[in-house]
Amino acid sequence: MIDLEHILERIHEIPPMPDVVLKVLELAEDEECSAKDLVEVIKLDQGITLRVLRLCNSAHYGLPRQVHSLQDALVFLGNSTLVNFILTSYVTDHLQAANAGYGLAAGDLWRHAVAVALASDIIGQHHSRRKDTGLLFTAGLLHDMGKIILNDYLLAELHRIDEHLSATGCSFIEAERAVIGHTHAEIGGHLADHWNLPQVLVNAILHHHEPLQAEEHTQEVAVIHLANILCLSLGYGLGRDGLRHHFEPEALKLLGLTENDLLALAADLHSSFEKAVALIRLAH
Amino acid sequence: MGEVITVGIADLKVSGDPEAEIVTYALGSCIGVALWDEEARVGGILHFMLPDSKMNREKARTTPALFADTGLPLLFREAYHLGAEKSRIVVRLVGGANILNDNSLFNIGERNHRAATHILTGNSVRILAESVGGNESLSMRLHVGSGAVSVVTGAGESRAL
Ligand SMILES: [Fe+2]
Ligand SMILES: [Fe+2]
Repeated sequence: MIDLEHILERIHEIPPMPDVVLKVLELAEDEECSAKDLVEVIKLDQGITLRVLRLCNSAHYGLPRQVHSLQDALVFLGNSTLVNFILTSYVTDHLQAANAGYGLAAGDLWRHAVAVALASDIIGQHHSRRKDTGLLFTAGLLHDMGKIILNDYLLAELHRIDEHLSATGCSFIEAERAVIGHTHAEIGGHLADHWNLPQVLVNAILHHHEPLQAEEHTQEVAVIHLANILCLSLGYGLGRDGLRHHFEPEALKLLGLTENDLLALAADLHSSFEKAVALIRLAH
Repeated sequence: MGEVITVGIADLKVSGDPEAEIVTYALGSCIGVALWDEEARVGGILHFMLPDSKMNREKARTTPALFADTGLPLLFREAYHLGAEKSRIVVRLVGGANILNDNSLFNIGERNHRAATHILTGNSVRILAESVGGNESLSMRLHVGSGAVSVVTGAGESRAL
């Protein structure tokens, strides 16, 4: 068992979320937010501004003339694409590395995070029929961040984790709890707190494997749970845990979806994923 | 060492190069179908995701390898182009894992396996061996020249199928 204080110390060593990203997140939650507000915030960060312009001017879009300003970029991409792109660029650096404790090679956790983000967005759109699905994409992107913190602890206990799994047949998250004393979901929640992220993100991260534990933001939590299960099933960034996770059928009911609805969305996910990965690569 | 041909998710590749190896990773609940014709020395792998193209007809048109019922015919057709013949073709199936469940909900792996078996046996294609089910994510490799198939577990252990 690992002392939580010890893990929290490591979380506090992680640099804070840049103000620009926090501000963009805040604006993304606000339905009244105008393109002008976004430009005002983004232009404060040169690195992000450059990436956005590079994205617009990439051969992928094949625009007849160069996009030189953020204003034009925003008109062209639309608010939600831009917000999602900024967040993805930011967390890409955190998620690229291998996490041997989870059996994830370099890039695996990133692939998984991007797939879950897109799936969350797709499920959200299907469920609420809104074009703007608020923070679901972000929640999906961040849901497994706790793994980058727990990785070292897990690596030291691999043997006992495996033993526990084969002796009990429990889920991977239950094995984490039994051997380490904490789960990557719980630790991810602490990291989200450390980053001062909105409460809906904290809840979505904290409860993504056990959605019935959530007391608020139950719909958002259900979306992330389903998106994660779907992406694990389809093999997006699978690790040592494989498919050793519980599926909570109540999450479907809560959103008024059937199993077949979810599978039909899986086919959409495949093409969105290919496109999104190509776009992100272009701008990096 | 011959060429290594990677098959993505909802993708298929065939080859007539006896030196080549065809691989596909992280099958999860998807199924990898390895096809082989010994006489023609032709091999191929389909990595399909879902059992039935009725689930999303639009995607079935653009990406037939997504579904068992549109991907399998395409895999066979591509192999025929390289000289394979149906009567000689044997297949092996890998993947079809399932999420833990006590209520047999969300068993895509099982449904994928049933769909593939139904289509193959319905067309009198011989299923030589399979490594299907469980809740571990498997990868697979096919050596085109020898027809040898190996299955790689999430922990990196490899075994012949
Ligand atoms: Fe997780
Ligand atoms: Fe996950």
